[in-house]
Amino acid sequence: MTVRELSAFEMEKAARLLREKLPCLGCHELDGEGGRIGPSLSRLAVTRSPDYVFAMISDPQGTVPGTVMPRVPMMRKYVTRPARYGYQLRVGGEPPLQRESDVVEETTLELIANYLLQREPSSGRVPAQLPRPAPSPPDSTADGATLYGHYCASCHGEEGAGDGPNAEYLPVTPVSHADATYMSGRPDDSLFDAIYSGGYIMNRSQLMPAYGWTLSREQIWRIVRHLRALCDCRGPDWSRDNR
Amino acid sequence: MSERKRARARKPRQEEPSPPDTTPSRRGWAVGAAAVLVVAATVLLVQVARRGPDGGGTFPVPGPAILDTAASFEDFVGSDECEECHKAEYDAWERSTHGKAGGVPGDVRVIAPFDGVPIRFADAIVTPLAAEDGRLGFRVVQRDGTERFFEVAGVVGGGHMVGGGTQAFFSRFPDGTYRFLPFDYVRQEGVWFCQTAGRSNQGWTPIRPDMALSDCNDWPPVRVLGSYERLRNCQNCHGSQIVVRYDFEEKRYRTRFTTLAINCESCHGPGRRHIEIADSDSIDRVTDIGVEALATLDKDGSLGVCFQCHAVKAQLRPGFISGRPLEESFSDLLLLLSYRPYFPDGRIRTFAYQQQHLYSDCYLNGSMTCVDCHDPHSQKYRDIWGRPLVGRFSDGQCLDCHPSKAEEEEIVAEEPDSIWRVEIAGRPRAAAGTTVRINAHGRHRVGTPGSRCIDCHMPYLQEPDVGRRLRYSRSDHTIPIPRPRFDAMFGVENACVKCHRGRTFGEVQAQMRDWYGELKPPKDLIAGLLTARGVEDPAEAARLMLLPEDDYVALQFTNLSYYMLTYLRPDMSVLADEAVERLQRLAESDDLDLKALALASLHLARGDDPDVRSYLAGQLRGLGRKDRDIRRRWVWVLNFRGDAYSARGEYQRALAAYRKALEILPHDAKVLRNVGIGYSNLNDHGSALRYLRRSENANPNDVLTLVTLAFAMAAGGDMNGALNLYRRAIELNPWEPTSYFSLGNALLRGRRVENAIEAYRRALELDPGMAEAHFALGRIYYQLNRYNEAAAALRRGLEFDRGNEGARQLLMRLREEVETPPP
Repeated sequence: MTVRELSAFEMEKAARLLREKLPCLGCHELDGEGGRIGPSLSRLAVTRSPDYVFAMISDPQGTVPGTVMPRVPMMRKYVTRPARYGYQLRVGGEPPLQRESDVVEETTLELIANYLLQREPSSGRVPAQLPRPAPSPPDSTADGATLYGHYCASCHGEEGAGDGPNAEYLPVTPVSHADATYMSGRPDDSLFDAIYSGGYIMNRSQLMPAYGWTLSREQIWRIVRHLRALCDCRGPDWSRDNR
Repeated sequence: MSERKRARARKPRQEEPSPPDTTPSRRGWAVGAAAVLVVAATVLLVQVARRGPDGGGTFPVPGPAILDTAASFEDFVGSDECEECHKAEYDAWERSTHGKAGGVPGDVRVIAPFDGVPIRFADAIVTPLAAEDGRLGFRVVQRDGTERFFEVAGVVGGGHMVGGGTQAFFSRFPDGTYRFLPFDYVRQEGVWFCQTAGRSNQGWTPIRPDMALSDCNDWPPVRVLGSYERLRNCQNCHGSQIVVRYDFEEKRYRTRFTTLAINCESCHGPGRRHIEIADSDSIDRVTDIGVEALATLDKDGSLGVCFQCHAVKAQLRPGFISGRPLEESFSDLLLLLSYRPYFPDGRIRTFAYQQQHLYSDCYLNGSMTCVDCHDPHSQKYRDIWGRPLVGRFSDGQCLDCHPSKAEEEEIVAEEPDSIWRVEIAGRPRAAAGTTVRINAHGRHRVGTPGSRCIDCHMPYLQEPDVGRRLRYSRSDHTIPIPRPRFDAMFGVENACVKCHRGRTFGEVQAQMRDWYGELKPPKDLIAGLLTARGVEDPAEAARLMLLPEDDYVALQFTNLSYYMLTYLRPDMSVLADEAVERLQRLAESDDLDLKALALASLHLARGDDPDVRSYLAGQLRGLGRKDRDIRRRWVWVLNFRGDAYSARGEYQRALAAYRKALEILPHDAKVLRNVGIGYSNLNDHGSALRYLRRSENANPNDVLTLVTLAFAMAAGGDMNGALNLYRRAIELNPWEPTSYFSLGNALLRGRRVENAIEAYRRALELDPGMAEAHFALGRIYYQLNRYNEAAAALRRGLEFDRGNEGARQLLMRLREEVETPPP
């Protein structure tokens, strides 16, 4: 995979998307900003190969089995490219498209990868990464507590108090799942939706990534049930659809 | 409450304070003057005492206008310039509803039949005609023999909308405006129709042979393309970069537009700089390429692009063109005060657009913008990740944010005599006892219409102002939970009943309860507003309706607008501290409209209270770059209240509101004119003249100010001065019927009856639908015993103002007198 040279405008646009729309900096540090769970992005061009970066963003679990990095589905949103760059149709496994004109070449994350791979590497000291979570991924039968410990606890804390080791590096305090008052106002479905689709769609922090392309529905429901154990509470009565 | 505040609250105040400029009566003048002096001195002392070193309760003057370096018409290049580099987006746009939204004959698909088949009214025959060269027009022959031909200069719409698509036509008029013709065509029903609001009040109705031409509220044509404050207008939305201005040298309006489609620059702003940068070969090296990356806008910024048109807007000042900040020229919320387009939950009460999305939970508690579902170039549907969807009914619009609702389950089919059974063509019903798959949340069989998210949450609802004769329904963008109680309360068609015809409110309610138990409670602001209905105490109402701790701007604005209209009036003697405090907290909002409404509310109700005044002054001092935008909105609200009081004959209150507006924009020509009119209504001609002259100085070319000033001069006895001013006004803009109408009024007041008749007739040549001029002629003819002419004039006026009781009674009296022989 080769790095596409971005224009100055695209570089700036990618930088804004990265900071304002995407979850990357929840786990990765960039120029002193962002989490410490994953490797720093500040010097990506010198620390990782383009092939690795593109493979990682398109299929993290396939590239590094057991990684906590979820696959983030920002397919074509936010990106259009002028025709002078030439279009290459990349339909792949996406839903059938009606016309060529509906297609743009690049996914959002590829734009971000191109940006990270050609920005001037940071000359400062790269902050240390936090100790990695469990090296092997929970298997498909793992319970909610195990899944929570693997995917959630770095930010939200082992006991769900919003005080995981990564929390101090984030601009917003992670939700405290142990807060019964707060959690009593959150329906189970909303908790499921936030885990599945990420914080951005809930008008919350975009730094909370979507896990719906990484975990199965059943695994997400197990995490939801674990959240209820952490807060020792249940959702509002109106949210239970008479069940 | 502090002792000091309590004392002030107890102290009776004059409900209708005499304006300072009102001349006191001779009787009691000395006492009055002394009292005024004492009060003035006391107030001054109190105010000085309350002022801090920064000026206390003195309102600071407006900040300097921000240097206007934004776009002009010449900065726009048209979409064809975009095609070369952005071919994919251009192709998608060209086939989209925006790309096909309108145009000029020959360049746009006309779906209406210009086939020479007459459209018959009771008193006119309108024939749509097409010439061999492609030109289109309407020949209008009225019963009295007058014949006019309107050549079509603009076509708007193409019948694209699924819920009811129409096509409308504009003609170019001699004064330079493009005016909307009252002969629309609706694709689905395949009929010509017109809008009848304010006339026969039948909504949008197919044209029938028993209808009068004047049943159509756009007859005679006065509504212009583009925004022009003095004329009824379509704002800027039925075309791109529509600019209307009056050319004082050519003595006519100048209407310009790039296209009557919605082009690239309508959203992206002017493209000239971008093209220049692209052509300079530096485009890869610069971050400023002349256009903004709309994909990086935040939620409200993104919505603001679409709400340029998909919102009911109040115009704050002229001159908007895409690329300028919308908030400088328009407000998206202020019209909620007057037009009342929404019910408390945001659903449409009258007629509105997709701005109601601001009331949806997807906006209030989510990140949803228009482009999360609508591809901005093709207007086709997509999911929140940008993946194309098959169409408007696709669940993909909802399930990417609500994946929990995607689950299915199996149930045993019910007995076939269920009251909820709906036959679906081509789909056999599952036999009772067999297993079927249903959507676990929606409780409908998978694949049936009722199982789709939007069937319950975004049903197509008929726009109420349209009536029921023609289908014009739009998908409900409040994306509500179906609430049978609210549906019944507001008279909105229930989503379930759209398919399950005949089911009662009780049956729907019971089924909902059976499936879902307790429904999600409405937002506190909505519940509070509904609970407050009938509450008389402003403090209790404030506790229920004004909840500053909530963060929902549109709901806050809705509630505050109800509160202001119901509970606040100028210079109230008492308003509980709690209500004042809640208003002050709302005034801390970052939203321009909400902040301005809260400030105007405080100003209107308690603007003479030293504490409130000091607070308002502090707020004014802190506006910074928002100074002009807030002041314009603040003044809009006060002018609106003043106009409403004026229309009800409450002239003292009207003047009080206008004078408060003047405190906020002391040199604004329109505000000064309103104050002048306010005094004029109170027969204080001296003060009226003083303010109208100040208004004239502020804008010497404002024709309305000139004729208002002229009339005030005539009323004060200076007929020669008045006539000079009328001449000047007519010289400036010979197309303005109001000048002739006002001249007629002044001449009549000066007993120059024949001259007045001439002036009224000239006004009617310019605007044959000016009911007041017809009525004035009717009254004159009646007094001159020219009964036939009087009756004709009154009847003509009543065609356009059917509720005018005075004209109706005069016409009846006229009939009696004509028909009753003298003794």
